[in-house]
Amino acid sequence: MATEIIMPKMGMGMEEGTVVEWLKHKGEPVKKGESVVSISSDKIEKDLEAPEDGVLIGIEAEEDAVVPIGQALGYIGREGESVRGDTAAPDKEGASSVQTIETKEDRAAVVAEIVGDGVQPRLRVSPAARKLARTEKIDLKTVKGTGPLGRITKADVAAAADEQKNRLPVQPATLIKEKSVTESSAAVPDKGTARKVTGMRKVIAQRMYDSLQQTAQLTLQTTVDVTDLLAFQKTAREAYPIDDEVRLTITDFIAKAVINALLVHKEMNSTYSDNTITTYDGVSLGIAVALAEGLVVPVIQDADKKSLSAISREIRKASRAAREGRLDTLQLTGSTFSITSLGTYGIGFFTPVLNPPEIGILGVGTISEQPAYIGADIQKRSFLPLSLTFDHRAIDGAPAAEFLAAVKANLEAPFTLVL
Amino acid sequence: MAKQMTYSEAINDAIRLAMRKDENVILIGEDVAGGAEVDHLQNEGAWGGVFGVTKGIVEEFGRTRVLDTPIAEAGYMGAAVSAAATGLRPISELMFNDFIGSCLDEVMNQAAKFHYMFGGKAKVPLTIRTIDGAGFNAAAQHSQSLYALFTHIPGLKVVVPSSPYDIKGLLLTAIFDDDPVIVFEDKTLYGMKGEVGEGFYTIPFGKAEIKRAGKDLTIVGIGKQVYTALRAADQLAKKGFEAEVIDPRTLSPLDEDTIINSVKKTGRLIIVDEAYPRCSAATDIAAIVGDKAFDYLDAPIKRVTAPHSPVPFSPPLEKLYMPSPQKIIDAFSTMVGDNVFTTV
Repeated sequence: MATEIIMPKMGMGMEEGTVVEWLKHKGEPVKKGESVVSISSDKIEKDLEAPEDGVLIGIEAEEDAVVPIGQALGYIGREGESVRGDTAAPDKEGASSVQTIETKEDRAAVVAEIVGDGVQPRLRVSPAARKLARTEKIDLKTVKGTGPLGRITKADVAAAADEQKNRLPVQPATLIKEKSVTESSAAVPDKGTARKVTGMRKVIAQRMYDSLQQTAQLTLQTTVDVTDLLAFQKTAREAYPIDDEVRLTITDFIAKAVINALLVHKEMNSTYSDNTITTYDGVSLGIAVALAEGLVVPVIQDADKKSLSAISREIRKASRAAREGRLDTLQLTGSTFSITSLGTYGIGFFTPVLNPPEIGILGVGTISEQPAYIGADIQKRSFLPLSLTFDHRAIDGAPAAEFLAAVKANLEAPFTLVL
Repeated sequence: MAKQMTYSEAINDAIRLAMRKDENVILIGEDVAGGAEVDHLQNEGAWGGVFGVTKGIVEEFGRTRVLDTPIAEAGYMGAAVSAAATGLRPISELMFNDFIGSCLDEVMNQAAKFHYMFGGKAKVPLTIRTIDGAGFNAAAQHSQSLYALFTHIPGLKVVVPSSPYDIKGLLLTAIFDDDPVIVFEDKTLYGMKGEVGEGFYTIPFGKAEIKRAGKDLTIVGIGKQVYTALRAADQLAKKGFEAEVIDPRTLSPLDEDTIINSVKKTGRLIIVDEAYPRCSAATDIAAIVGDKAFDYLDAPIKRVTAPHSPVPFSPPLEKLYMPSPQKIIDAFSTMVGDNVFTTV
């Protein structure tokens, strides 16, 4: 009996995954536990293992295909066995997937996409548009509907399909043909390298676009005199026992200053969704970490209950895990406020983009040394640019400014951070 | 050769051709000759029906084949059904389709059932000509369009001709068809002129006509509503939308293929029907397309019909009651997006 290799559900929010690479060819024998296919979700890339010895007798989803969870990617069976005959009458054991799937939940997720789950608005799609989307392999969630009440029409899907085709790379065969026809190779224009937006990039694209489309965000900026903080950091580092996991970076101090400010200005420690502002007593702090192929925001939970060194340890651990691609070990949702830093790139002020449903994000710039008046004297001081983006739907300018002033005050009196 | 003729003249022409061709064809109804038992009207100048459609026929064929009856629908309809069952090809005129209540049993439970109940041994080659349609200020009891009532009943064929050419060809098909056929003549079309083929010709049942080709919208117009649809299509064309207008010509049998193929092309369907909206031809066509062409629909199917109300006598209200090009355009605008048309 053929066994299905199923797109597993690898996280709460996962609805579909992308086939990255088949590690076995059709017809190739596989051993139980051997990696067969590499897949990616929004967050992680993972190899699926063969559930039993056999032969890869069928591939349902080619590479780059986006497949809903619970759907078969391919089949493992005996040599010479056909896929069709077996799917018609799968036996109970054989039908078990590589990963254990909560089938009901998966089905529910698929149904929710079509009929709406009561929370997300129903996707309005005309039958003709839905049919065309199936044949053209267009993800309807990426199509903007122009019909009445935002209904996606056939024309909308056709336009999306055209766009997708235009983005596809030029076939090598066509290029070679063009070259041989054209006498001067310089006449062939550089068409660039197109790549389909999938996985993490797709999620970032959607989330950032939604953030800017659906919130009322603006940015306040302030400069913090961190001369004393730098001195304090130096002293603290020397005083703290040598520990591979704790280095007490400026980011750690900023995180602590933000947490302390959030505990006073609770209105900033909120989320906005479904026309509801929810304010939290405890702080779960998101720390944006840049990766080669995107970014993630691991969350330090219960950050308000943790000491500076504990926070430092967690930030270090999370960013290391993120950079090493061990995202499945990270908490990536539930943050109440986030910090993003471009400090290592010489960037001063910038306009961070909100990480909804959060209503605030603090952008950390690069410290620079500047002359400043201290009393009547001019001194060399160190300044840190901070940029606070907030959602004006949830909070007004004055309280947001008060929060930012509190962060500044905390950083300018660094001993308060360890009290 | 074709010549210009009114809808009414085309009917008269068809009946004469049929009666000349086959002596079993007879005409029976109230006032179809006119002047029965009236001395000075025995030979010429007879009325020829309430709209004068059959005028002159009694002069050619005599009162044995053109029979005026008392105002007793059940009686003469029963006679016509029996005559059909026993070898004649009667054309029975029901003066207004609104009067069917007085003779429904003869049509629904006798004529429509014989062929089936006698295992195919009996046939009822009866043609009922009747008059329908609003827009003539004839009030609620003389203005209905009841073709859906008959379309509902198996064993009856239902014809809704919209032009002089069509009524002649379809009426001749009806007369020589071996099943009971009911032909709906819209009273407001009687004066309409158009090209009509000379001599004997027939138009097959179940064959719709595409009156206008288009790619953006299919409009099915029933009876005279084909013209409302065509006027709407002209206005839509000015806005850059090409509507395909289909005249089904017969509701039973219905040419589903032509309608479905059109919807497969356009993705949108409006049915224009001046009859009541519930359990109507429009509703029936909408259901068929929703069922068989679901995957091709790019917008909800819309029906432009009368409201669920009797036809008003007041001329301004009657005008408001009827489908109009603007109502079709309004329906279309809700299908493609509310901002497409502000005014047309």
